[in-house]
Order: sequence, then C-alpha cells, then structure tokens
Amino acid sequence: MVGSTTLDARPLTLFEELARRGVSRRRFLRFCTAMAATLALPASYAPRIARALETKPKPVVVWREFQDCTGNTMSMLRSSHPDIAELVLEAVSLEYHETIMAGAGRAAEEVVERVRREHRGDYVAIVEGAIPIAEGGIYCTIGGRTALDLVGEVCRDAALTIAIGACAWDGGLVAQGPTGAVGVDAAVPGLPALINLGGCPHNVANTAAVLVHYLTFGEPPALDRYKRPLFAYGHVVHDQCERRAHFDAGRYVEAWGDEGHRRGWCLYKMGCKGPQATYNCPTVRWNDGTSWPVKAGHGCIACASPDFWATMSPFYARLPDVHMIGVDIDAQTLGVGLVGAVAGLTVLHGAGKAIQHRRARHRATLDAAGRVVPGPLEPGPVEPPAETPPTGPPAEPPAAEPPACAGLS
Amino acid sequence: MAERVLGERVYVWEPLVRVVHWTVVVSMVVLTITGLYIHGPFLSPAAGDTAAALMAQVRFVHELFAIVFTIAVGLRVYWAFAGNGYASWRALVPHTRPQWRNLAETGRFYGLRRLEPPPGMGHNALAAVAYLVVYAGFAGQILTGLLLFGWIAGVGPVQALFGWIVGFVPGGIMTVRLLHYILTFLFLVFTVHHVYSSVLTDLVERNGLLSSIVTGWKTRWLGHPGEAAEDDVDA
Amino acid sequence: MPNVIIDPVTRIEGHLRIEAKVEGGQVAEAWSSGTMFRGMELILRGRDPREAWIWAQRICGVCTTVHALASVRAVEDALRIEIPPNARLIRSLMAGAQQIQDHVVHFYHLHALDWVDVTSALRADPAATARLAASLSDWPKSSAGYFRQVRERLERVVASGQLSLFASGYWGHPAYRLPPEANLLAVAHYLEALDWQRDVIRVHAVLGGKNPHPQTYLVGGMATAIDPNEPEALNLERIGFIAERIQAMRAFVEQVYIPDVKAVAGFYPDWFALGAGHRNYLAYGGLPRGSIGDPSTFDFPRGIVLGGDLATVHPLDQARITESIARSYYDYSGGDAEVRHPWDGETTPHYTGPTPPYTELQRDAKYSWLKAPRYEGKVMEVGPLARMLVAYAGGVPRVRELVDGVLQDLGAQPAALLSTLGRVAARAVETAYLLDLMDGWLDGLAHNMMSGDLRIHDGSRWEPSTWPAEAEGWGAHEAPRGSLGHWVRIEAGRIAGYQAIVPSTWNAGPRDAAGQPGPFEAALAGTPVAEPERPLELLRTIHSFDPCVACAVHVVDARGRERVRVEVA
Repeated sequence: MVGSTTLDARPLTLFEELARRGVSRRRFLRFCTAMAATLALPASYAPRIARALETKPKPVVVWREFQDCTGNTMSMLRSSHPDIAELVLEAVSLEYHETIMAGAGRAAEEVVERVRREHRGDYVAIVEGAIPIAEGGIYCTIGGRTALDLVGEVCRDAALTIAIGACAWDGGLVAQGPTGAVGVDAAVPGLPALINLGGCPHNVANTAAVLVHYLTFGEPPALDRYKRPLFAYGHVVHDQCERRAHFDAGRYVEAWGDEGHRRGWCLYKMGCKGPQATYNCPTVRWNDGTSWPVKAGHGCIACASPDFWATMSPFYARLPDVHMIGVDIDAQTLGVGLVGAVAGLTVLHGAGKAIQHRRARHRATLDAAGRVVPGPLEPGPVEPPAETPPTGPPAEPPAAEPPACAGLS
Repeated sequence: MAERVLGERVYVWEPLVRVVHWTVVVSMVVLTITGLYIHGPFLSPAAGDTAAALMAQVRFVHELFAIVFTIAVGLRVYWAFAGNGYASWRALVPHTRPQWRNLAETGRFYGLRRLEPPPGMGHNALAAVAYLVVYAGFAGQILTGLLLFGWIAGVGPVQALFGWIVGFVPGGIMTVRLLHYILTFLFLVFTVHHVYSSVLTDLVERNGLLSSIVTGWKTRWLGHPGEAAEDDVDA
Repeated sequence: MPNVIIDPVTRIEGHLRIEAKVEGGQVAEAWSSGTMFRGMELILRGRDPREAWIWAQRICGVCTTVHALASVRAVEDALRIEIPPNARLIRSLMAGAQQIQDHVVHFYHLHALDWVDVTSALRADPAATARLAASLSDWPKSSAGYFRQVRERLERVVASGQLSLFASGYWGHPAYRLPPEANLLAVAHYLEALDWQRDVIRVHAVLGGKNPHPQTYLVGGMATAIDPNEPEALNLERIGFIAERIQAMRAFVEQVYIPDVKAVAGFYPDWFALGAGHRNYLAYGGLPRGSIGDPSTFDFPRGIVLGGDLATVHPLDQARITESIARSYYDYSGGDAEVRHPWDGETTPHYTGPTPPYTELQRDAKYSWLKAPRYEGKVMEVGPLARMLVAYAGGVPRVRELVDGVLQDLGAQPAALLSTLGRVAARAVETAYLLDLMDGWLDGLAHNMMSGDLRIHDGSRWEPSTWPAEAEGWGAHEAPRGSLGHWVRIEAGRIAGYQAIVPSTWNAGPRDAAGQPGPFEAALAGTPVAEPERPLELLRTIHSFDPCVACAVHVVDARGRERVRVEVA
C-alpha cells in the first residue's frame, strides 16, 4: 500500500517541483509577479516570493467539508494560476479532501489522524461549510463523529486555518436555518492563526495568493477585523467596477434588456449591491479572469460581506426592508406613508383649529376690564374648568424665556 | 385705540440663530432633493452626452451641503451655550416646573383643548422638545452620512475616525444606508409640522413669529397676556 | 459475517454513509444514510420569489446552476410568465455546458479512481501507452514523450512522500484490472481533464458572470444582455468565445472521454451485469425547444421505464409522487406508515439515531436524513441512465444511434445498460447527445441576434403589484444527476412555501414504509467484496450514480409547516 507509506525523502519545494517538470524560471517568476499583484504588493516583492517558494517545503493541507454545498471546492477546481493540477500536486500536498481524494471511509479518516500526528502545528487546515452546534451537533456527522468534534481537532493542530466561503466564515446561508450553524471562529474560538475568506463561493485567486503569502512571509497577510485579508476585502466593489463611469454620469439600466442594459450601463437601480460590498471581484474576476456578475449583466449581491444573506436581501431593491411588527415593508413606502399621514393629520388639525376658533369667537365675551374672555370650548364640559378662569391673567408665568438670561451674550 | 400702547418689541433671535435656521432650511432642501436623487436617480443625462457627470455632480452638491449643514448644526449647538436666553439649552431642555407646565399646556393647545398656546416669547416647551429630537436626528443623519462618506472614500480622516463604527452596526453598511434614508423622511415629517405650527401660532398669537426668524424681533402684547387673540379684541 | 461501513463516502458531493452486510463474499443487504442536514427550504419562506433562485442555487455547488434554473421556472410557472426564446437558449447553453463539464469531471475525478490504479501507472511503458492511446483515438497529446513526462511527474509526487489526493487510495486492490499502460493513460487524462474543465466552464463566466453559482438568472428571462453592436453585451465576440469552448468540449469528449469510457469498460465486462437494482427509471424530461409547458418539445423526453422493459415508455404524472419517512429522521402526523405528496408534505425533523460518536446506524429503525420518494409506491432511479433509457425506449433517433453505437463497440445488448457500467456509458452517450444540442442552441442565439431579436426578459410580471394574491408553480429540470423539481407557493408577493425534490433523494434515499430498499441499497445487493476492509467494489456502484447528498436532504413542506424536534438516543 503505497498510500500510507511515507518515504524519508526531503519534501521538495515548489520551485524544485516546477523546475523538474520543465517549467522555466521565467514562467515561475511570472507566476510570482502575478501573486504579488493579487496581494496588492509592489512588483519588487516578486523576487522575495520566488525565493520563499524556492526554499520552503510545500505545505500539507487538510480540507474538511461540513454543512456545505461544495461550491468552494468547485471554485478551487477552477484555479488557473497556478492551474489546479499544479496547485494540488506541486504547490501543496492536499492530503484530505472528501470531494476529490482517492480514499474513502476509514482509510480517509486515517489520513487526518496521520497528518495531525506527523505534521502537528505545521499543516494548513481549510474548512468549507458551516458547523451545526444545535442539539449536540447531530445535524452533520462524518465517520460517526460530529462536525463540531472534527473541526476542533483539525484546526487546533494546524499552523494556519483558512475558513473558506461564507458558510465557514460566519455560518453563511446555513446560519439562516434551524441547525444552529456557525462559522469556524465561533465553533473553535481562539485559534491563533485564522483567515476568513468569505464569498459565495470564495475566489480561488485570493486563496492561492493567501497561501503564497503564508509561504513567503510565514504569516497571514494583513487582516481586517473580520480576519479577512485586506488585499481582497479592503475595497468597495463599486469603486473598482468597470461600470462606475456610467454611475457617475447618471446612466442607469432601467429595465432588464433595455438599451442601457445592452450598453453596459450601471445596474444601481436594479438593486446592485456593489456600493455596499467589499471584494476584489471586479479586478481578479472569475474563471481565469473571464468575467464577473456585473460584467455579465446582473447586479452584485455582496456575497463577500458579513452576514450578507441577512443584510443584503432583497437583492433587487436598493435598501433592506424595514421589519415592522409582523410585516416587512420597504423603506420608501414607509417614508412616503409617514409624510403623507402627517400631512393628512396636519390638514385635519388645521381644520379642527379653525372650527375651534370660529366657535370661540362666537362665544367670546368681554369681561369688566374690557378683556376678551372666550366662551367654553366644544369639549369644554369634559375638561376641568379650573384652566379657563373667567378673570385675570392665568397663573402661568411666561415660561422659561423670561429675560433673566436675556442680558447674556 | 391708537393712543393705547398695545405691545412692545422684544429682541428674541440673535443673528446666528437666524442664519443657522435659514442655512439649515436651504441645506435640508438641497440635501433632500440630491439625496433622493442619489437613492433613486430620477433624471438621466441627454442621450449622447459623453461628458455627463450628473450623479457625480449631484453627489458633490450633496456632500458640499452636508458640510454646510454640519457646520450650521454645530454652530447652533455651540450657541446653546453661548447665546441669549432664548437660544440657551436652558430654554430647550425642560428642567423646571414652569417648563413642564408649559409643555402640558402646549399639548392642550394642540389637542384642541385650548384656544391659544400659553404665552411666551422663545420656543414653547413642546417645540423645544421637538427641536431636541430633531437635533438628535440631525446628529444621526450627520453620523450616518459620515459613515457612508468614509465607506465610499475608503481612506482618509473621515474613514479613520468613523469607519470602525460600521462594523458594530447590526446589519452593517446596509443598516447605515437605511437609517440615512429613513431619517430623511422624519425630517420631512418635521418640516410639514414645523411650517404648519409656525403659521398656526403666528395666526393665533399675532406676535410676529414668522417674521421674527427674519428680523429677530417678536411682539409682546400688553394688557392681555392671557388668551385672547388680537382680532378678537378688534371684533 | 463481516460488516462493511464506508463513512465518509468520498468523491461525491455531500456526506454519505454506506453500511453493508457481506455474506459469502457478496453484499447481502445495504443501507444508505445521508448524514448532514441544513434546512434549506425553511430559509426561503417570506422572501421575494424573484430572488429565490439565488438562495436555492446554494442547495448545491457541484450541480451549480441547476437549482437556480428549476427555481426560476417554478416562479415563472406560478406567475404564468413565458420567457423569450433567447433566454431559453441561454439557459439551455448554461445547463448543457454544466452537464457536459460535470459528466467529464465525474468520470475522471470522482469515479475513475475506482477503476484506475494510480500506482500501477508508475510501471507503465510510455511507448506502449502511446500505442494504446493511438489505437483509441487521434487525440494529439499521445506521444511517448508526453506519457513519460506524466509518469515522471507522478514518480516525483510519490518520491516526495507527499501523495496529496492519492495518499489514501485502495492501491493494489485485486479488483483493479487495467494494465499499467491503461492506468497511465487514465492518469494523464485525469490531469488533462482538470485543466479542460476549468477552461470550458468559462462559458458560464461569459453567460452567467461566474462559475460556480452563476448570477444572471431572472424570473422572466436572463440578465445577459444581447447586442451584436455593443462591446459590453453578449455580442459576436462572446458568441465566438463560447463556440471555441464548445469545440474544446467536443474535441475532448469525442477523442478522450468517450474512448476512455469504452476502454475502461472493456476491461470490466462483468460490471455490465452488476449493480442494476430495481430497474425502474424515471425522467421528468427537459431542454425544451419551445415552451417549458409543452413536454412534446423536450429534447430529453418525459416518461418512465418499468422493470427494465425498453419496449414501453409509461407516462409520468408528478401528482403520483409520494415521500415516505418510515426510515428517515422525520415524523409525519399520521405516523410512519403514511406517505405524502410533496405538496402535501410535512417535514418534522426528529433525530432518533445513535449519539455521536457512533460506530453503527440503527439499521432496523430510522437511519437517514433523506426521505424516500416513490412513484406510485415504486422505487425509481433517476439520472443519465434513466434519461437515456426513456429516450431510447421512446425512439429518439439520435439517442438510439449513439446508444446502439456504444453497444456495438462493446459487443453488448441493451440489457447491459441496466448496470453499474451502464450508468457510466449512459453518461458518456448523453454528453455526446448534448454536444449536438449545444451547437444548435448557439446557432439559434446567434441567428436571433443577427436578425434583431434582442429580447432576453419578459418584464410584464416583474413588479409584484402585477401578481395574483396567491399562486403555485413547479419547475423541473433534468440535472446531471437526474430529475430535479422545485415547488413554490406565493402569497401576497412573498414565498409562502418552497419544496425541492432532487435527484439524489430518489437514488440515495433509504427504505420506505413498505420496506423496499432505495436504489443505492438495491443496486449494492450482490456486489462482490474481495476485501471487506477495502470495499472498492461498493464504491464503484455508488459512484456510478454520481451521488449529490447535500442536495438530497431537505426540510419543510410547501405549506410551510416546520417543527424541529430532536431526541438523541
């Protein structure tokens, strides 16, 4: 069984691997430059990346899936720089991955045990999918063990954990359901090195860049407060969008398939969430840089934003609905309704005031001092009479404004 | 009755208060129109206008007036501590028994239980409370505006000072945007009411309330600080 | 009486557990269990039906796009929307591209390692491999030098001690029968297919913005604007890009995939007699040439084949579908013996399985998160084999031609299709069938574009104010793994109920109230097991179905009743 044999040869570096495959140094350096660009590092970093890849052994990777749709795995399989075969055979050693590994059942689970034993504190754990914690975790079991059980051991023994996709980051779509689904950070709190790569799915170009950064510098790239790399999640989609000029000009798609739509105008009025989203989707794009949703004609859904399923839906409206008691109402209806209601009430109030004055004028009488005394108001009998004394100025002094302070300033 | 002295002129609103008032009015009009355009662009540039920058210009105007508005609101807050008694926070924050009573009586006025508001020269206590609420709304609008500005700018002092707040807002930037939008309508509601009640009070009190926000002066009627309106006397 | 337990079943989508009782070197009885539950349909309630597809698409990322398609169709059916022809063509192109790519990925990356011993490839002679390759097809990458490079690449991976994906295979298992040269050829094509699949699926990037989870569906059409004169629309340049990808698909499928399927099958003829199961096959049908409401225009015909009888296609009425939860972790109000139509369904999750960590399921009680769908009480298999059998029995000329061609090459009778390798062969035949359709769809799209028909969306029912107060609809699609249906109920502009019955629920479901085993369970019976510790043979039959288990587990009936109850035994 070759499968479980470990030969005692020194693991080869990525560059050695590539060199022995006949990949020229020039192509290798081009790869390093591309990685530097994705990481938003100056091109002068490319040699440093190259040096690191030339001298460091390739990392062992364990990729675990829990409550997932395997979309992030599929996204990984679309990798083109490096191509996926290079990525899994030469760049890293992807020893466990349910969807594509050779082994199954017991033989598969033994791989995780072996990696944890032989590479403790040294391997990279990648987690895809949410972890259900309700009811003791019975909503996801693998090999008879709960996801919660498995994620803890595989992440705690790793040098670096990457939570890949929205579900592994913050529970994603699954968190909207009944299974108590959470992301890695919540399921295994306090991991020393955790990188969240949100997105539904993640963009593999970023994931490759994160791995390269980790290999080059021995640490994760600069992260934001959600532990996401700034190079990928630090900029607003809208600011990087190729249709931004149309936004600024005031040219918008008004209906699907209209002239503006065909001419590539801005999708702002169709509910595009680009202005609220941060991601490098418009610059790295998808599938070998071919396209991205806005380029293809549909608005962004901000799939790399925190809790995006809850905060960014409805996807075809500008703003989220306002949750009133029992009903969801859109903000414009609410606002216009409010103004209309107050305007209506004001008109009614004005009418009421006019009627009040008309009646008061008819009933007003002059008192002995020649002052006007209004007659009783319509609801007069109900109100305590003390407030309308027939004579003299009322007890209330001119409120707070008496010129005690008038001399100031 | 020409020889009778019916009232005296009282200087109520200092120049700063009046300037702030009208600056806020103009800013609100501009900000509301431009804001509604930014929310849902209702105009397009002419076909073939390759140099069009409609949204960019509208956003520039919006941001410019946002700055004007913020300064005006800031000055008024400062004046609450430096201005005369009518402008002072003491006249705005109900904290004395007479103020509470004035509040209740003004409520009765609006509830059609009383023909005229209780007499007074500055803000009545109910209006004062309304202004406090509106200024809280202004603060909210300014803050959400700064968050949105910082979000789009991505860098700079605004983002550095305020950007971190977004991360703590439930629902994030979408909630900020929603609040910014909803508050606009609360100001519209306030404006409807404010104009109405100013006209109403002016009609009832006949003390020059409407002109006072231009001239600064109101009239205190002598002889009948009570409840009757001037035209009732003439009648 | 050794017990075989495979958990996780790898090289599938989702989390599947297989338990089997082995007697006399054969599987006597098997149990198939889905071990993960997310509660997808519950999440959809109360949302705007126009965005249901964005959510529903996340049911599965491997069968990406298919749930989006079924979802928009369900909503369009409810709102009585007929989409413009261009939208239909774009949807067909996306579905076809996904299906072709998925079938090839399934064969090489999910299934091949059950037939191909990677370590044996190390002993292959590159020159002999080149001769073998030349005998199969005229694929250009077939020189001895090329195969030497592949072998050396493999050797380096093995020598490094870091075997990556290949670290845990059942290498050297006696059931592996390919000669070293065929193994090396297959490994070379495994690597080529990795590169091929990421290139050809760029069709989705052009039409859908990205893959996985393309993002241009709309209720009423597509958001892929068409205009031959606009650089930012689907124009002739982009049509040309797609045409190139279809060419690349055709070249690889005809010169690599199909020859490889035939070559591998030639070494395992006994697997044309194993793994049949119940021999009942069901297909909703799909790929309309006209309205989706008219099944007579479907390129995948609708129907049922019973008991392997290829002389008759029985009509299908979706109203006769029921689901049983007798052996699933759910409750019905009428008890476990009850069966319910999906519209009428109830889903009350109620876990009664063993407390984790566990070593064995409670096989005589409830044991799966999957329900057991039945058609008129009968167990049905869905998937490429079901589609091809329904089309073959129904006399679709191109399908008959392709199937007969393959059977002739393999020297087999049509009955051989009802088997483990029959599923593999049907997938290959279907891929070839789809390629022809792809060309036609793209031509149709280009023709419409040039004749000025640029419509992609019917916006007459876009605004919720134009909708009826209440509406119900269903949308179906023949996904790579089989018949997929979504049901939606809309009330006051919101989703009131949502339900999906997906292919792998049919195939991987457990026993029903009558005790009939599901298709997986039935197909495994009689499978030889050489080494119970390394149950390679079981994987062959399971993988031949191409299971997708995340899809298969669902919750909440269309009426929106949901209760969650858990009791850990």
